[in-house]
Amino acid sequence: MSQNNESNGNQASMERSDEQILALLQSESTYEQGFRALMAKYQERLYWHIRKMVYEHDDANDVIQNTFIKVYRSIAKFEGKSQLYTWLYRIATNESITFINKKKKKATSSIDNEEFNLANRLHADEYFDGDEIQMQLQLALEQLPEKQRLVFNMRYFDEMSYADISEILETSVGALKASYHHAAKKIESYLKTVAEG
Amino acid sequence: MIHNEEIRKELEEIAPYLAQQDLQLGFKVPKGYFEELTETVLESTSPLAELKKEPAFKVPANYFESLPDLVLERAAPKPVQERVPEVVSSPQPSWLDELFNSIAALFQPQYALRLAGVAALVIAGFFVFNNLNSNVEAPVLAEAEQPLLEYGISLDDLTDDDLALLLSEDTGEEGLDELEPYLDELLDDLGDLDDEDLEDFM
Repeated sequence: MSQNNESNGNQASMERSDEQILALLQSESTYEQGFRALMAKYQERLYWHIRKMVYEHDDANDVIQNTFIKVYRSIAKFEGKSQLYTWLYRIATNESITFINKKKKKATSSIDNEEFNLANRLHADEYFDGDEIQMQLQLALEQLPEKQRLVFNMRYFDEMSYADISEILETSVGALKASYHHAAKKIESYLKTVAEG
Repeated sequence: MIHNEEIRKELEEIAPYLAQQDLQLGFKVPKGYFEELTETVLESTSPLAELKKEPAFKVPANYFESLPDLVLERAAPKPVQERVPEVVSSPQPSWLDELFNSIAALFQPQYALRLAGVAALVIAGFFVFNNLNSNVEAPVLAEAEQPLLEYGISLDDLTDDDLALLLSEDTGEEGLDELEPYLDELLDDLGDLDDEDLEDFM
């Protein structure tokens, strides 16, 4: 078993094309091998996409696992109409939003308190070692509406094209450009204020 | 630092101050996290993990909330209910049962008076018969035998019924007249009895 895992791990470590991964996922005998290859290729990208949304590692860990479990069960439904990675991003985004909404329902504090809580949470998080500017960036991002934050993260940090973002969020390119514009302006303003203050 | 030229130029137009910043996230992950993530996910997707997550046995909604009431309701003593007599089809009565029932019916108050009347008639018949036998003397018999002898018939040839008929034709009115006071007295006595007395008597 350990040999098989090691063998699968070695195979997965060689980054395969999406076509190769999908071909492996078509057969029951190579399904696990294909899934390992898929995770090896996309898990970090998806993790950071999720982490930027939920901030804390423990939450990101829950969401990334739920995302891949959903992928494992529904990869057969993937029709190839979109790119594999945009399909994976869409699942990860939906899982993140679902998680955030559940967490919001549990929270009883006001927006100001939540912001305060986020700063506290980041300081307490052993997996956050950002400096003051990075902390302020997170607080600035926290102030954005969810959709704007998503667009900004995907455009600024992931450097994704509007076409891909449009496919993932199922939003028109024009609307995405407007969202990105507003988000960038707000963050700049926030950081300027902090830097001047 | 933005590597994509198009994205960098776009940001410089929108937010030049922001475009000059080299913003990093500041997040990190536990050591070896991504190496273990695949195994963790595969373990979660195994059938055994599914069984562990969702138990096969379920209970109805709010079952445990209502269970104490159910138990208390069953444990509390119930008021004694009147037993409804069980309807059982009786078997066919035997001839002995029918005879017993017929006799028992005779002892009902409404039949007792009739029975007493019949008994009175029987007693009266007994008196008449005895009276005839005791009052019929040899001369009478001899006189009654005379016509029969003309036909060559002796009294010894007659049955009891024939003899009674022969005598009644000659002495019947007289015998009934003698019996009448006894019958009247008996009927008066019977008329004085109430149902309970009749039942006791029977």
